[in-house]
Amino acid sequence: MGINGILIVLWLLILGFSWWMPSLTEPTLTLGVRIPVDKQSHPVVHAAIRQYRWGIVGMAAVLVAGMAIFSHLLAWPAVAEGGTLGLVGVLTVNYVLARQRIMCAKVDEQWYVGLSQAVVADTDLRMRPPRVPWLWLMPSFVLLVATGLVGLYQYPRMPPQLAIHFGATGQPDAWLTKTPLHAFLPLYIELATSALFWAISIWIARSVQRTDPNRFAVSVAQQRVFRQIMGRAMGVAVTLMDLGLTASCFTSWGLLGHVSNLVLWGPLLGAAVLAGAAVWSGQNGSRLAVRTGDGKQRDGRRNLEKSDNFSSISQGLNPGQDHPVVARDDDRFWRGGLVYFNRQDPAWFVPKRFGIGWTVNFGHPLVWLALLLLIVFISGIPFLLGHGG
Amino acid sequence: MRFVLEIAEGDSLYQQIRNQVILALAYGNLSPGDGLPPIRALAADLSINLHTVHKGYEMLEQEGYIHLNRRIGAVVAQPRSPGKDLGLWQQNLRIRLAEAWTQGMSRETITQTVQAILADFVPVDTGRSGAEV
Repeated sequence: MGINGILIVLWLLILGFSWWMPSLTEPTLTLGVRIPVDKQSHPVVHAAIRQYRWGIVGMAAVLVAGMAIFSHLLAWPAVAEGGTLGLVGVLTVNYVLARQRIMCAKVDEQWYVGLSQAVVADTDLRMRPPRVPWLWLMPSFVLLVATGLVGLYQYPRMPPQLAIHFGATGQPDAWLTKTPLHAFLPLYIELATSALFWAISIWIARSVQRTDPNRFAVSVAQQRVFRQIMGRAMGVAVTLMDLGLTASCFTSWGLLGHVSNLVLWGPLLGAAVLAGAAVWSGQNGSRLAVRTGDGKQRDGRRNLEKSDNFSSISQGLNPGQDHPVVARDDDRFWRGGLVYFNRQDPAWFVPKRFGIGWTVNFGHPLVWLALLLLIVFISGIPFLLGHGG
Repeated sequence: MRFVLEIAEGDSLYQQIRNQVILALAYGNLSPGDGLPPIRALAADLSINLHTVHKGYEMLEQEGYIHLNRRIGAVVAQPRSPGKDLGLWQQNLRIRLAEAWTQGMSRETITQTVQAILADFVPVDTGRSGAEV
């Protein structure tokens, strides 16, 4: 498969994911718009999703036809990069147009008038969070330590010039003089990447909850299982990626004469595992089938919370009030349904509304500081390695 | 336990936090010795200002329902004798009952309602075994 093939697969994957996305998000977050629970089957909601999906089918058709006619242009890197950017741009416009229909109906028909809006949380998810999947993180840790030991053993035997870059044919085309910094550079990269993945999978267990009051018990159980699944998927993904990075260490240390396929396939398979787990679970676990307490829950506590009927929650907590409670309409904190900006919320990361995984809270001043430090760090890497200027 | 904070409620959010902890204690969803989430974590889960949660927790501490500790966080306190709050509680109850009375509710209905509410409460110090009774 040449570069053209990879590009076509990538573009069709992006389109496929986008087409599927409305089925992966939570039921009261359609195309990034918060809707009351009883509006899920509203004709406008269905029409907007149909419009969004037909738009994507149209894009795919244009893309495939364009590929067939202009396939020779794809060899130009500018077409590859510009094409991907253009695709994302058109996808965004398609999304904005479709969600606009729901927003209009929501305002015109006053969907939230007369509804009591609530923010809800389950303390159990905080006080007894899912366990960090240490066992699933162990293989990558063992692999990293083993790679480090091999590197230390091999160091005196390494050639004085180390191959650090390989051409398309797999032959080295750039070298560095052997020093501990240069020799172990791929190992440092492996260590840094692994540490990041370990930190994320530990963090996932304690990440912020977004519980739906209309499916309280189900929503909490889904988020619990989601954290377990994603934590384990991170463990598998980091192991696969480390296999690739270990292979590149071995190549650079002269233990492998060629570039191993693992260097490419390790990270790719790792990404596929993560994407698969996320699609299987749905955003924030919204697609997971879970069992919830049917009156008998652990601790044998008297359970007034067993019913998932939201009005009974409201009654139990505020006796005498039987008006339905729905999740707060928090659209004003979400620019375009994609960018979260809430100064009140102390959370750094929150589950995305329309998409897979988490996004940052741009209303948190420290998030801006962290982004700034990240940019400084990334642009400083060449200087750290002595290649700057 | 569950927090359900209604945005447009008459009570402010911190008042609702305080009320719901007390209700959870009465219903046995929370027992003395149980921990409550750290202020920042609960505020993030509810996506509200952490000062709101802080205020709710402080109220609960002042009224003796929880202990706040920098090291171990918020922990539900052992039940204490009513003592000095009794007069205030009676005064509040008098107002609530008077509201019902002046709205024309009969003595029987009021008594039945109070008894129905009390029937759902479990002893606070044995909250964990409440379901087995």
